[in-house]
Amino acid sequence: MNRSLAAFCIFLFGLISLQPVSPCHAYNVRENLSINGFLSFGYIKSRHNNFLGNSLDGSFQLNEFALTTNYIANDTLRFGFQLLSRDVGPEGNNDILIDWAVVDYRWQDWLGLRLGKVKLPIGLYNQGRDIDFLRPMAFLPQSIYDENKRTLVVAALGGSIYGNLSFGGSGDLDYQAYYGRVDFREDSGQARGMEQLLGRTALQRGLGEVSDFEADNRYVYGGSLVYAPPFDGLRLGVSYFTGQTDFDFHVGAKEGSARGTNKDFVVLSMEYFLPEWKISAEYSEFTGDREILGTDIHDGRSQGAYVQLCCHIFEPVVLSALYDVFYADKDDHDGSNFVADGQPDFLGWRKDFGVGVRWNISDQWIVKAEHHWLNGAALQLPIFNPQGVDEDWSYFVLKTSFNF
Amino acid sequence: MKLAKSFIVFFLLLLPVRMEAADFVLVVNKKNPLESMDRSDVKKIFLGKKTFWPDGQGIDVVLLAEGEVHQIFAYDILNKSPRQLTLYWKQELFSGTGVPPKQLPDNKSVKAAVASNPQAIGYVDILQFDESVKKIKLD
Repeated sequence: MNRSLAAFCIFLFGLISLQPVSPCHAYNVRENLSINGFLSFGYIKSRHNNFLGNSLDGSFQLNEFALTTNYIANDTLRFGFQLLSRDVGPEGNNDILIDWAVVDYRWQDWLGLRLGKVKLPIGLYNQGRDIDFLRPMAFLPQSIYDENKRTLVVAALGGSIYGNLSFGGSGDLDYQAYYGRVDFREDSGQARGMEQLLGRTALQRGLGEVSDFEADNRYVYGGSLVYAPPFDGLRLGVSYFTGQTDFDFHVGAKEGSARGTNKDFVVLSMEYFLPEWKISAEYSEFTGDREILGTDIHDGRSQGAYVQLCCHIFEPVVLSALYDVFYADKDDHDGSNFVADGQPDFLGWRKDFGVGVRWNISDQWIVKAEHHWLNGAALQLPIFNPQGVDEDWSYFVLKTSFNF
Repeated sequence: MKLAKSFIVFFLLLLPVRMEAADFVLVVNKKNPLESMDRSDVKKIFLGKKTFWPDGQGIDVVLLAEGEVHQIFAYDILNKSPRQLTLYWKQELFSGTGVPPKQLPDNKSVKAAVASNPQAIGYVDILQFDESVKKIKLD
């Protein structure tokens, strides 16, 4: 992590937190101009496998900072952007990036338009995936919100339409649809996964080393529907995502190319909450289709699901429990395709049972701790464990977040 | 058995208790022609899903920042705890999909904000209601 940047951020947020703020804790520079932000720091320690970096030795590479500005021009027009810096293992390195930046025109309640860099609505929580204090645990359930896929699915340069359709006594429906391109970073988990696969393929074919690797997203598009029935607390959702990314590189002295198509990433979602309880469950299927050096790679159709329960035992304390399961190929739950390929069967699944406690010190400041027990090494765990992966492993996270 | 009873009593003591002694009244500007509103519409307004009055003007929402009346309003109309309401708006804010409503420190500030803005809606302690603002009946 860049120490000077970290020191700057701490200084900035410290300065801000010492100032008297309005009850909503935003900086209302003018009547219609506000500045908000958040920061989080974490520590992760794992046993038997590295997870998102060198966690076996314990790692502090688990932080996010953001500054958000909104200007409301009139009843229908808003301008806003958010700068985000994050460091999660090898990804992010605390570079300051534009997380989202939009011109938001809300013509009617049932139709609005956002242009710029928009967050993508995948499942119920993808648009808020980097906001630590919103999450019950340090990471969203990985079967749906895989950190290695984050760069591809988090936001796109393009636009979206959105709105709320009211059905009177039958509830209402929120919809969003988007189209755009993704700024594909080479340090993202997905690019690194493709680079590793390329290296292995080139080695098997005796083609030499892969170099000058570049990723270029061609498009992403999709949308989501979230239905709120007339009784309180229930939300039902469905979302769809698709996208294509091209990769160029040199292998030995020759130029090479590869293509990754993310087809039919579908998520079905359910959330039910009462003031003291919340249960959420989501199910997804996803077909990856990769073509490397002219050869089609069989990726199969993956399958993931989770159930998460959060309970406010008493006001400042929330207990959470998670069961999250992912299969790399829904038609190969026992990993026999991996065995046929000379790899361990447990690369075909990932089962995560986690428990956590979150202490809401105030609306602005939280601390949380959690422990996860896992079986299986799917979702690109070998990237972080080139020496080999274990089937049974665990990790612990301690994290604190502040927002204003 | 005694230990089990002690445990149950201890657990019950930990359960959240909502005090609902106070009550709120929904208020709008006196120029607003509406007399009553549907509870589901009020909920959508305070969650940012309904942002226009029937005449096409934008709705300016005003929240109380804290206190018993805010808590009762959040539970009764929005089915959320005050903290859940705060998190809901922060999710909108930091996802780039919305901006939280103004939060004001007391009933007097809410009445002043609503009285000075024909597009505003808020809620105040029923005992603090006065003729500077217009009361809206909840259907």
